[in-house]
Amino acid sequence: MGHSKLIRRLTGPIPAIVLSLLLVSAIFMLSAAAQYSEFFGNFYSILLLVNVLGIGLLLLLITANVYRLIHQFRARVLGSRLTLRLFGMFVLLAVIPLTVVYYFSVQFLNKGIDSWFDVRIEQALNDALLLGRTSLEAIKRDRIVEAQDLAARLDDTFSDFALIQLIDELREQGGFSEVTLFTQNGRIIASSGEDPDKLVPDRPNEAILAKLREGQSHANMEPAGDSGMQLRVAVPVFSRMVSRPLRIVQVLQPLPLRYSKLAESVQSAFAEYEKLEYLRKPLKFSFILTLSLVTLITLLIAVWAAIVSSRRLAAPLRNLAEGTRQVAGGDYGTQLPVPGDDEFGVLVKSFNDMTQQIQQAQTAVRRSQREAESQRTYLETVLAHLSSGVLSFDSSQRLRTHNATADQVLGVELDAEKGKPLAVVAEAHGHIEPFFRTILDAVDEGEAEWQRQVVLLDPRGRRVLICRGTRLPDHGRRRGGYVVVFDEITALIQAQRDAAWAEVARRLAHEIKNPLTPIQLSAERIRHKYLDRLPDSDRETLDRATRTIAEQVESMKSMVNAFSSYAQPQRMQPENININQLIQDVAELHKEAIRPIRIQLTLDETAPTIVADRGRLRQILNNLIANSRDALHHCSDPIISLDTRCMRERECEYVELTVSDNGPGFPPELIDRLFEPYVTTKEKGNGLGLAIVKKIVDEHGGMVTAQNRNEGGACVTIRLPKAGARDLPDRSKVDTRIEQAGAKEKIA
Amino acid sequence: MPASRNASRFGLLLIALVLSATAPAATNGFAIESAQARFEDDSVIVSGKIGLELSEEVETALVKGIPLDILIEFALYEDRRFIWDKRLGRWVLRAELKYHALSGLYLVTLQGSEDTKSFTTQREALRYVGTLSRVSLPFTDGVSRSNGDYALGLRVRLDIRSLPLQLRPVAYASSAWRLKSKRTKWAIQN
Repeated sequence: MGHSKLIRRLTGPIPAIVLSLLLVSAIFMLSAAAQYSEFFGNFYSILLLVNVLGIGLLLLLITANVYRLIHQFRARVLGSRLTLRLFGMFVLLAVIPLTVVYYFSVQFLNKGIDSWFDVRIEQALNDALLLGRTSLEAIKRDRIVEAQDLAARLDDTFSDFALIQLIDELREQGGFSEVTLFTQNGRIIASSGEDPDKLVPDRPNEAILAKLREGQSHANMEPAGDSGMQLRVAVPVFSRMVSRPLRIVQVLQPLPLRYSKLAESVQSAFAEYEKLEYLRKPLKFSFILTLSLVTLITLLIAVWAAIVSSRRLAAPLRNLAEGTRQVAGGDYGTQLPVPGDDEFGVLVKSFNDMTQQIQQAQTAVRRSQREAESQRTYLETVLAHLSSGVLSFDSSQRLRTHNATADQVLGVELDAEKGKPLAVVAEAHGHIEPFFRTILDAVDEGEAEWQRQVVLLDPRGRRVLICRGTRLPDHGRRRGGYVVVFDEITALIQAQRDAAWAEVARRLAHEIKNPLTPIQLSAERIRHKYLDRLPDSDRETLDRATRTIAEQVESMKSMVNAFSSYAQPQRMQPENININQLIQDVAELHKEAIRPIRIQLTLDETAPTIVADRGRLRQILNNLIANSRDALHHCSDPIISLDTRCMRERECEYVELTVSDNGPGFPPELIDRLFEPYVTTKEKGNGLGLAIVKKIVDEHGGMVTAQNRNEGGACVTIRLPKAGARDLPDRSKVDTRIEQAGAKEKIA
Repeated sequence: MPASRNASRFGLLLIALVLSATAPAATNGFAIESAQARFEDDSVIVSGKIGLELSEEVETALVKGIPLDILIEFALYEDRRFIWDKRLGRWVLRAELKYHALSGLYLVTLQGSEDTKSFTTQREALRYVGTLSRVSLPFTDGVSRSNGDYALGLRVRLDIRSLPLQLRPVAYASSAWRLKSKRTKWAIQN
């Protein structure tokens, strides 16, 4: 148990109630003791001490509680002001009546006890005592005279026997109860008493003897057991004989019963009154002490009760205020202890019901928020993984949401543009202005659903986007915005175009190749049959005509074969190839044939071995070298550069092959369509060289780009993955994804 | 005003009560001056002299008719060398002293005696009470005497509990009423 908890328990209501009960019991017993209860009177001091200690403890408890209250008030603890105010009010209500009652009780006690004592009674008792004493004095004087006479008669008697007889006689004559003759030291010489049971005569004490030895007489009244009072008279017996020592005669005479009773009555009344008079102040003190203790204990208990009551009254309000603060702070699970069935209880119950309902509502809201959040996360995940770009905007055309693909397709970080009007975004990024313009135009037209195709010209080339827009439903008064889904279809269009060209080539090859052989055979037959028969003039004509037919047929055959190789998928024969070695072989082959054009090799020794079809790679190199060769006809220092480079990108290892020349470069108007069939600037070219290059690269999972160099000349860059054709089982089919990638990499 | 005087006395009483719990007992009035004790058959015979002197407040109370009980407490101890002495028996002799206003005498009645002695002065009465002359203290049951050393414990005090109830709070509070001697020990002659 903690120290503070222990103190709180010790200063709590239970110890105070127990202490109060003990104190009330003790004060009751003390009161009983003060009212002459013999039983409690024996424990008076203990009771008094218990009360004083109890008062001390109670004071300590109250002080501790008041200190705590003040401390809480200073610390501005909730409810402490009210508690303190109630406490002050209760204390005032208890102290004022108690003080008034105490004051008047003390006054009443003082006056009441004083009224018991009457001056006249006191005077009368004093007078009675004086009268008694005077009367007794007279008797004493008479008895002294009688005793002196008796002593004189004793002086003349010498024999012991006669002395005893004389004393006996004198006792009877004088009516004494006892007559004794003593030596001056108090030794008995002779004695006579009327009580036969009394063996030893009553001896005067040393003080009386001393007085008698000095020659004085002694007479005094003294109590005599149950018989009332008796007179003790003692006188010295002076002898006429000088040699005889001093003797003492003592006479005891009981007072007459009437006198004795009267004297005793006066004595007891006087003594009682004197005692009472003397005890008046202690009596007052005792009563006032008891009253003061009762008042003090009552007052302290009242103060304690005031503390407890004020705390109890203020507790529900304090709890309510604290609970309200907690609710305001967002803690809706606050439940307060119900103090009872009174109005406070009803109030606290209502508060508890309210917080419970708020908490339930809050829980429902949180659940809905969680669900909405989950839904949103789900949608965001879906959107993020969509291959289509998605963006939405509100009715005032401000950008709200977008996905990562939108950024990728548009080439813009749309996060920075969120909340901005589309027109502003379009102005900030000029290359996508047609895209946003198309959207805004469609929105202005007010169509609920629309579809548009947009062509963008940006650093990545000419790209075609297809956009589909849908108006979002209104939410109450809020007008719904739009959601636009868009895809880049450049690669798709390219693929469609390639497929179309392949079909054309296939049909062309099929339709043209078949009649060529009969044409060629027929021409050769005509030549063979009629060349020798014709005159010389016609022979030359026939010879030239048939030769031309044969040449043209041969030319058409080679063209048809080229179409055929472009259109018909070739079976891949992948193997490990050292690309550098292959390049060196092809360069060596062309070196002499293309003089004076120089071939310059810059090969990366770290280039890995790739998996590819050797023959088809050789075809790529042949096509590209032939293209450069054709372009360098009129150059003064023609150079064809073949470079390789090892690259690593996105955990993928590539070999980059660049074939460049210092010729005139690609015509700008064709640069977007260089890899399409039949696109050529050469007079005798069939326009299939680069198309076939692209096709082979695609089949190897690579990509090809073509561009003009800044310093002049054309440059074709091919990237071939290290894995290459081995991981692509059927490269003969068109892979749309790779097509798209290839298309995107095409740089104008 | 009587109320305020009483209140101040009440305060003094409280202080005195607290102090009396710790303060040593006052010994200015009563004192054991001498004592002789010896065994005689199955009892201890004690003679001695006790000085008794009343304070002014007590004298006033006595003259005003308040009887005083003076207790002479005897205790028989067996001396033990290494531990505290063993108490074998305890006796109390009570003497009541009161003043007879009519005769002006001081009356002394010893407990167990019907005889009341009267004295003309208070000093005589107190001297009588304080004079122990062959007081016999018989052994009670269970007390057996061996050859060891014995001592007699002696103390005299005014019995406040026999005072009238009204007077007791004042008596407890006032040092003038706390009359008692130190507890003395006297060797007992065999």
